Amino acid sequence: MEKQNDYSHLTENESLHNQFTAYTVIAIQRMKSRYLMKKSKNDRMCLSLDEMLEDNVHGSALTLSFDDMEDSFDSGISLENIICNDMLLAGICMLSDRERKILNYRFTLDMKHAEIADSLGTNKNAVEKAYERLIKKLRTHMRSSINETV
Amino acid sequence: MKQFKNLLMMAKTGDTDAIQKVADMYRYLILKKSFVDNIFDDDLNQQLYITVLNCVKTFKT
Repeated sequence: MEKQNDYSHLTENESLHNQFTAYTVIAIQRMKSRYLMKKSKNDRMCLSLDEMLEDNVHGSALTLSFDDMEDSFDSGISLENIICNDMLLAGICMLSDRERKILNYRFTLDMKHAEIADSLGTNKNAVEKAYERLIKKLRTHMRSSINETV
Repeated sequence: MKQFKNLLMMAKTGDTDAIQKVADMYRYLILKKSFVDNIFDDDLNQQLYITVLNCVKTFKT
């Protein structure tokens, strides 16, 4: 038999209480998942820094300050250092800092849109849109430069 | 028991007693959600209390 949800017996006060509880429960769940995501990301960051330290145990890198290490972590694996194609590199140099950051996160650190949004302090949709826009920009730049050379 | 609507309205206006009562209503839920891998996370607990207070602010009656 089909079960029907009948809330007509609830008073206005009770239904308001239920609504508020549902609202709060959802907010709490979201906050917890966001918190766990942030925590896991921080743990990963600490782990990679620790690994770098361990790798350099026999060298002189231990004298590096934390800031220096962070800089080397950021710059060492940036897209600009990896890409060999000059046209693509020129296209990437045309992008804004924020767009370049998104590209770096997406391709070198292999982060998801949601994680990128978290680290940039925006929402997932904005990152997705920015990502699509920058890919489009790169594509048009590549096309135009190929046409110029042909 | 006091009408929940009144309580919520008072909490929205910043009545500390009302806010305390609303937060107390959800203390067991918050406590339950504050465990990560069976370990109580104090920071998460604080965050969840802040979330409830934000809910009081943002909930539209």
